[in-house]
This record gives sequence, structure tokens and C-alpha cells, in this order.
Amino acid sequence: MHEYSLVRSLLRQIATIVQEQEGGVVRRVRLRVGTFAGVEPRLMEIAFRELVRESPFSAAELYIEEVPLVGRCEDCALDWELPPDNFLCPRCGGSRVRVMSGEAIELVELELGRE
Amino acid sequence: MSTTIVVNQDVRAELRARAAAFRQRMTAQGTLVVNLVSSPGAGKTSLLQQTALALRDRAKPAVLVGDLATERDAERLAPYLPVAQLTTGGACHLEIPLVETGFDRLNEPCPDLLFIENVGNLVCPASHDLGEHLRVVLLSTTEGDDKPGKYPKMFRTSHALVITKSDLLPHVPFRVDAAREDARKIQPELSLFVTSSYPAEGIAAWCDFLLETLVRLRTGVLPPERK
Repeated sequence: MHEYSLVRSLLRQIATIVQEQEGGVVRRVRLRVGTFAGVEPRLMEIAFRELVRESPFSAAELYIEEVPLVGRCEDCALDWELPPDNFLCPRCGGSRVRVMSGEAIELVELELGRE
Repeated sequence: MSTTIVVNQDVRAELRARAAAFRQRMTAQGTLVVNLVSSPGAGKTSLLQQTALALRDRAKPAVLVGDLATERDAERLAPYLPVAQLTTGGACHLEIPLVETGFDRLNEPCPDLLFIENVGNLVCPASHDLGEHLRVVLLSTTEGDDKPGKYPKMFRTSHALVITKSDLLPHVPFRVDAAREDARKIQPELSLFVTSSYPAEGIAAWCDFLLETLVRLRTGVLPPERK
């Protein structure tokens, strides 16, 4: 269960951004988590709730949007949603697939409140 | 009043940049970095012992050993090759900062092959770049041939699959073909090796693969990055 260490990375990332913005109260944190990112969104939320309390951003709420695993076949150009256990193209059987989305754990945006 | 700051950056960006820098440094000094991953008890330490023996006189290996709390694996490996222990303090996976400090403690600044024995776990280590050139997943015949489909991220991000404990094949319902087929649906480019450590079998082909990859690295041809 590595979600705690990912949330610690996220909190460091937020701290850097808040510093660049010269302060403000973090109200919302929007994350995009791919279904093939190797992360369980519910565990990410639990870890966030616990770790954010001891951070300077204790008022922040986390919103997670899940992103499906989508591939593009380099041979026949089909775009399709991949099942995690089969990366072969369902149309031509090709094995050269480019993953278009579903692998990232991305901080999308922060909402900062100012007094 | 509130403002929205658009970021669009991966949470692992900082650690990934450090991993990429470590990989670049190792490439520049001609060290091939191999991250060994598997479930607990698949035989990473035994494979490393046999690999170090087989590589003797042909290459200079070293190893960074990840462990939750003990130094048992480091003690097993010390007679075979230079070792530095990475104690994760209970964490289920290694991250690049531990690898960097472990490498600095290693009594061998310029090995030909730097192995990283990850924590036994087929889930979390899949998401963490340790600056390796090669990720190698071990699958022992006692675990079952259905593991690739159950832990697809680990197999997807690996370059090679080493099936271990082949000496037990007559006694367990493990089909090498089924594991290979299952794994290559997830990662078609996966190289496959079938090995046993007691007695040592299939080790030569595995070592040849490592040495060939090392030669290619030194001529500027790196294995594709998989994340």
C-alpha cells in the first residue's frame, strides 16, 4: 500500500505551488488517477484525509477523477479502452499499442482561497 | 475570493526526474541497472547468488538489497558480491532517494551491473521508477501461472520475465506456456527465461541476456523505458 507515500509527494508538490503563489488557503485539490496507475483511489482518499490534517493545508478537500486506460493501435489506428490484462488490439491482433491515458497520477489543479 | 491554479503535473514528477538523472549517471559510467521485482519468496536472493557466481570473471556486479526491517538478504549476498542494505522501515516498495543513498554507501563505485533487489511485492513497486535500465519480474513455479493477468502493471512495466524454481515443475500445476502467453498479452516484448537456483539451471542464458544488454548500453543503445 504505497498510497501514503504518494500523498506525501502530493503534499510536497502542493507546498511548492503555494509558495510560488505567495500563499493562500488550499480549498480543493483535483487529481486525475488512471485506472492503470497502480493506485487505489479510495486508499488515496483515506491517506489524504489522514496526512492533510498534519499539513499546512488542513482545510483542503480532495477530488479524484478516474481516467480509463485507453490505447491506440499503431498498426490499424484503433482507439479502445483496454482491459488491464490484454494489450493486444481487438481488431487486428497487433501488439504495438500506444497508451493514450490511464497511467498517470496527475495533480490537475488547486483552488486557493484568499482572505 | 478564490483562484484556480492549473498544474497538470504527475504526482511522481519530482521522483521520476531524480530517477531519470540517476539512470543517466549510470549510463554515462557504463553501469547497467537491473531492478528485480517479485512476490516474497520467489527466489530473488537465490537467483542473485547464482547470477553472481556465473558472472564471476566476466563482469563486476553489485547489489542494493531492499528489506522491510532485517539484513538477512544482505548477509546472504555479501559472500558473493558487494552489497548495500536499504531498509525501508516497513514501506512496501523502494523509492529513488533510498537507491541514491544506498549506492553512495556501496563499496564499489563503478560496477558493470547494479542489481536492485526490490521489496517482495507485485503491486506497489510497479509504480516507482528506481532509475533502472531493466525491470525484471520473477515468477516462481509454486505461485501459479495465472499471476501475470492478476498483477498486470508489474508485467507491463517489465523487460524480462524470469520463471524460477523450474526444478519443481514436475510437482506443481504450473504451465510455462500459459504464463508466457498470459504475460505477453500484457507486454508483447517481454524476454523470457526459465531458471532454477537449486540446482542451477538456465542461469547461463539469463546472464548472456544481461551481458548483451550491458554491451548495447555501452554502445549507446538503451532498453526502451517502461513505466
